[in-house]
Amino acid sequence: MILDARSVPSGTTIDTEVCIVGAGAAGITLARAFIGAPFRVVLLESGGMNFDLPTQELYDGESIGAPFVPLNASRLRYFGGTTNHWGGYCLPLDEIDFEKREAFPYHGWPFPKSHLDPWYDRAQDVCRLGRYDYRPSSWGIPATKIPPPFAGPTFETKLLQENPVRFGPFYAPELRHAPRVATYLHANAFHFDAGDANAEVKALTVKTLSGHSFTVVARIYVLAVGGIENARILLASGREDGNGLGNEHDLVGRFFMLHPVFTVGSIVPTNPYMNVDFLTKGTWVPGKFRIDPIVGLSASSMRDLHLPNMMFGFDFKLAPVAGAMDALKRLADGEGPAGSTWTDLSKVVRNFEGVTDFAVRKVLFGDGIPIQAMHLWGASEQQPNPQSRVTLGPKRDSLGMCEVIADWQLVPEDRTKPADIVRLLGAEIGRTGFGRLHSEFGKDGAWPEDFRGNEHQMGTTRMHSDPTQGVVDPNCRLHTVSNLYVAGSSVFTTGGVSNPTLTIVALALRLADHIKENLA
Amino acid sequence: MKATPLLFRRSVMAAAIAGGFAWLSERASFFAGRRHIRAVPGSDALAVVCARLGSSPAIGEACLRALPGINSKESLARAILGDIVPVGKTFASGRTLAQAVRDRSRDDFQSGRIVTVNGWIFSMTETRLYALATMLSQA
Repeated sequence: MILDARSVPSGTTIDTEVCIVGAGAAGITLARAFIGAPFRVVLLESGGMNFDLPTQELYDGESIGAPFVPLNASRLRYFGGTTNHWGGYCLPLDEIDFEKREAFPYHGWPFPKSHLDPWYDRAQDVCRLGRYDYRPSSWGIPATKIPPPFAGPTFETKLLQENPVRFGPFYAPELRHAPRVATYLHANAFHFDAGDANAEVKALTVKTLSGHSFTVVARIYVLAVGGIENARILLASGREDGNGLGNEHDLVGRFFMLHPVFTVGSIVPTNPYMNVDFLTKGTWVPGKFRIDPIVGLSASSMRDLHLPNMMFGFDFKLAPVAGAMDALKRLADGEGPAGSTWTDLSKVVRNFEGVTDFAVRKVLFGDGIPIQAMHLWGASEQQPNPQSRVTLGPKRDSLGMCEVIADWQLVPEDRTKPADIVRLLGAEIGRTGFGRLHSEFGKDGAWPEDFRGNEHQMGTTRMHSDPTQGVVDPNCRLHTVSNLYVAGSSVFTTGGVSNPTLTIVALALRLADHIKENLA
Repeated sequence: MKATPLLFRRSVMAAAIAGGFAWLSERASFFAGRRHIRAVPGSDALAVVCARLGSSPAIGEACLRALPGINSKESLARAILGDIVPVGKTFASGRTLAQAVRDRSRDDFQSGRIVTVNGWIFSMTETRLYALATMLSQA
């Protein structure tokens, strides 16, 4: 059932077995996994079913470090969370992302990727994707179609599966009809009371923007409000004279990671007529999802050369004949917008030579539209860095909770290592005769002008077996609080370069299994 | 039905014209090259390769700036030929030398002997070649 917290009288205590805070990708996945379980579940969502500004403004905060997507624009605070505007790009983390790596301090998860594979497999269905298989050859891209620089051994072609399913509207009907899962909208988790010892959550205070306040008492709590908010609520909870919950080792909020993204440069191909179908044609599986190839550094290169993970995407600058051919097609099909006939005709006439050349080459050699350049963007792995952190500032939101100060910090290697990778890519493009790479990346020891951190907020409640090095244990439970778990990208120990949602969902499914076992 | 023979005839004519231009440019650059770096043994064919490049002077000058310690066309020619010509062998034609330059360039990329010139990632050999081509064209 879905309820409105604004109708819950102040002072009410709601008893339940499991309380999930946050109805984004992680929270909704957890709640769905508990449908049919023999215990009661409360799911709290700050927003309603749609966007509203006063709720979104609860995300306001200050960014004082390196630039990244603004705090109140990178996330959405209503039912479904940030899946309400995500691109739907899914890719599991690589095996190497889970490994301890001597060249990178703090790198590595407490378990290998193979441990998470069964939940990755199930996460595919939750994210409405295809089978758990990310090999290009399995999706109609044989190795023979991939040009040498991107076919290994230094760089290789990877796949994204893409389906921007909105978890809120898509899964709301299931939750609405789940008798033992009570979803409360407009319910903001405000403070975890964990007693004098800060060792077990006794109650959660919930507030609404309409001024109501009530408590939820549960056997188990799961915090699932996102990569920054998870840390924010922990820092704001616990004893009034303390420094937050689970923060005995001053780790909550530290290791704040994003994926740096930037323009890399352009490839001028040796053969403008080369076949790059593998990159240009994302494949829609009818009514379902899309396959998008990208290029990444191979694991062997990362290991041998002590490099971080990195991926490259491509945009193509096509010869002017491309526009003329589009116009010609519109004219032939009669599909152009009203009044476009003369414009299209003019395009064809002005590029007549290019159109005839294209037609001849197409007939004789099967060539496509010539490519003048391939523009590259990149995303790289950030090294876990304790100096990069989220803290509470003096300013308070309209509920009275301290706003965050996000200080995203990078180490010099976060820039110099990707610059090495770009040079490696340039060398590989030259070696294979594919073309030449032009890149200003790393020039003068600076990031490119368009460099920024993206929306993938990770690491602020990192997972580690050692309580002195991580906030949560390998089961995602706070080391020092017996009944409080964390779901979402804040538990990522390292972030690779993969889009995080599939891993968030896989970890949520794994956590649901763990909680079901504990409550059985 | 008549289009194919017409296309064939035009293709043959185009090939013949292109071949003629290629022959003329090779001869012209060959003689030009002989004038410029005759002091370096085996450099005639290298001059031919340079003349065929047709690279922009701006790139060539940038390449020159990226190669510290190189201040003459002779030293550039020696550096290039020293890397690609087996001891006791010379290349009689620009064509065979051009292939050797391509091979050496590929090896440069493989072994990380690369130079960044105004953002372009070039092999050491092609960087030297662009620089030499520009010096020769300005001589």
